Amino acid sequence: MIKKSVSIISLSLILFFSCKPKKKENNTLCDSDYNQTELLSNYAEHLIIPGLKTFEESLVSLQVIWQRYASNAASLKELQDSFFETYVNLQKIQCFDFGPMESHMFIEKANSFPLNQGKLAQSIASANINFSEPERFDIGFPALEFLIFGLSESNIDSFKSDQTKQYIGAILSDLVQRIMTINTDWVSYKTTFINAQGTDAGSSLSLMVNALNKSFEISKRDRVGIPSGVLTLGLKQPELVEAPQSFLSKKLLFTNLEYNKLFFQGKYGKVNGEGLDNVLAHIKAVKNDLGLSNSIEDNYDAMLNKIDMFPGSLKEQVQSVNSSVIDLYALMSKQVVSLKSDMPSVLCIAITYLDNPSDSD
Amino acid sequence: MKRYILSSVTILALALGVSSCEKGKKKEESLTYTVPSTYDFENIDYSGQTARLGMLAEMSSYLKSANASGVSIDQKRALAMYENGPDANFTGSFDASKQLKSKTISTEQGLMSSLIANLCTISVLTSDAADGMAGRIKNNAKTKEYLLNENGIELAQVIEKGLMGSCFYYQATSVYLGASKMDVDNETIEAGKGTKMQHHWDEAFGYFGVPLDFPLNTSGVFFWGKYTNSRNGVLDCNSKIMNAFIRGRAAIGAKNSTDRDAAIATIRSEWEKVSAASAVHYLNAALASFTLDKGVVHHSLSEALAFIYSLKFNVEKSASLSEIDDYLITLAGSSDISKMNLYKITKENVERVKENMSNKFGFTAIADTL
Repeated sequence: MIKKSVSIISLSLILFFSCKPKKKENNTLCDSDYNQTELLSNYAEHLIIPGLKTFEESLVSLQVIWQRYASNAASLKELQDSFFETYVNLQKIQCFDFGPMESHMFIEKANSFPLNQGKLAQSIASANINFSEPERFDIGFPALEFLIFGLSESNIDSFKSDQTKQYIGAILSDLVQRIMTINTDWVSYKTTFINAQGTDAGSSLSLMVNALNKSFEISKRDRVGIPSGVLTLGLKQPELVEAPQSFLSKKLLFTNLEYNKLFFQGKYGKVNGEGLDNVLAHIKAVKNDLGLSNSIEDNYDAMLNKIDMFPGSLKEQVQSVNSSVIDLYALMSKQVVSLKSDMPSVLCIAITYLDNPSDSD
Repeated sequence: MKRYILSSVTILALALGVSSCEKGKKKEESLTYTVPSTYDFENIDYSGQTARLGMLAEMSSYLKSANASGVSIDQKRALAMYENGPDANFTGSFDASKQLKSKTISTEQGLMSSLIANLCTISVLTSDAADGMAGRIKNNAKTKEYLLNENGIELAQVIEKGLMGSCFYYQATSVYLGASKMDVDNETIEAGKGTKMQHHWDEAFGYFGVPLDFPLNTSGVFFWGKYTNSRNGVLDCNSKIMNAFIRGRAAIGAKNSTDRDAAIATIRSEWEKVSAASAVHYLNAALASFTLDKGVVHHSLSEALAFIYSLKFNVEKSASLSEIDDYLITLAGSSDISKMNLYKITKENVERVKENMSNKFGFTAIADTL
């Protein structure tokens, strides 16, 4: 009986696929002679390894300034400036969340937002610095942002209490430790990465396409969708943007998407290295009579231009002219179709990450 | 027998699949199919929804027990009931994976938790309520006592009706009948649950809170089912909503998405009317007692504002968010429940909200009878 139903199901699957509209099919990467060595080398040598190194330097410098601030040798302004720069730099490495960075859960530990303020207060009071606990929304940059920008304004004393200082110090050393380990791991992982060619689930190309999409979808949902109320029947929640205290949300979102685009292009500095765009061009992937990669790039530019027009922070934009944020969300939704459906299908890549944890009925 | 049905359904699906290649998509829909008289379909399961109705019933009854002077509510337990935590102490046995909080629309979870916590804090008070002071008020007949917050709001009502809106009504009209739960597989039948699409439809139905043979049978109606039945004399809403649920479920079985979508539209608009009409019903009750019985006024307006607030959570709502906020501001001075004040209310404003809502929802002719 089971066998019978399995065969019925597979028969119906075959019929189902044969019913797809008879559109002119794109060529795919699996039946092309494309050699991935240059591509993977470019990503490892020019984007990921230097990018992670730069971030480590930025984070260590923040740690140093924090230590100076804590001993009254640096001003609050210096601390805030250094924090801002490092938070912006954190956006630049979001697409690298696979391999060493994923195994050390860097993004989760560094930037799970929105902050749970109540939990943060409890954790500071009880000195709960066990950062390996899962699902903590009272750690990382969101916690630092609240303490350095929010609390420092309203309550300098409590900001400088020994307990708070210890907590901030612990967050920073945990993150520094993690990024240093990640950078060390990349020394040996680099060869593995460049050699893992092909399009299987474990291949480097698959890891990159999945990481690019995951980063993009997090921005779409958490940075734009939730604050603007698109996901909650129009009920806005401007306070749920990334970095709500410091009004840095616009710059963070802009940088995040800018670097998502650069990752797609394989671009570093002024050099446009071999990137996903070149792979799409090589197999002549098209979308609406335009090259798929051009279509994707145009849409990135449209999003970046839109954000650039916001006069203040993203939080203020949601409060004042939310329609423009909703427009941005629409552009991002359109981009998801290209990045998550069109691109993987011609690259023969399966999207394997889960964008939504399973939910109880 | 079940196996036979399964395989014949599969064969039918195959046949439809083949014809869809040849003649285009429209032909996929069966135009004739049987619509049963009750919701007694094969493979239905909405136990998760029934569990949540049960949890709200217990929580609500616990919170309302504070409407008797001297009964205070344990905050730890009350909040655990909202989250189905270990301290909830429910009488019913509810699977740990089911809870009210996680299914409340995300924007309102914090508000609901804080309203529950507030109620617990003021439940220790035995003094009389007054503007600026939480406490107790009785109706003139002294048969009923209500615990009011410092702004004259009966929090137990706002929490119960507010969750009917921000959890049950939201889940049914916006989530389970929404695109993300309806654009899913309708081929593979899981025993006991039907196809994914059928299952989602059943889950929406589960939040309606009525028996399978409603409205023939009106015993065992809960929450929305109960208020639908209360408004039925004027709105004739029992059969409108129930028939739409039955018709839509049958349409899904026949792969007729046009009829399914028509049923979704009916459910959304008729269910919305139940909430709006219930609000007007309580505005009427407040108006009838306005200068005569303060206890009744505070109780009724607390119900009314929560039914108005609930209107926000329908993805296809007829009143916009700003119109709904406007009703609330006119009624109680703010669209934010924690800032509303029922001591500043005027009869003219209550009448104005009644009139505006009646115009919006088409109740003008029946408003006084609600």
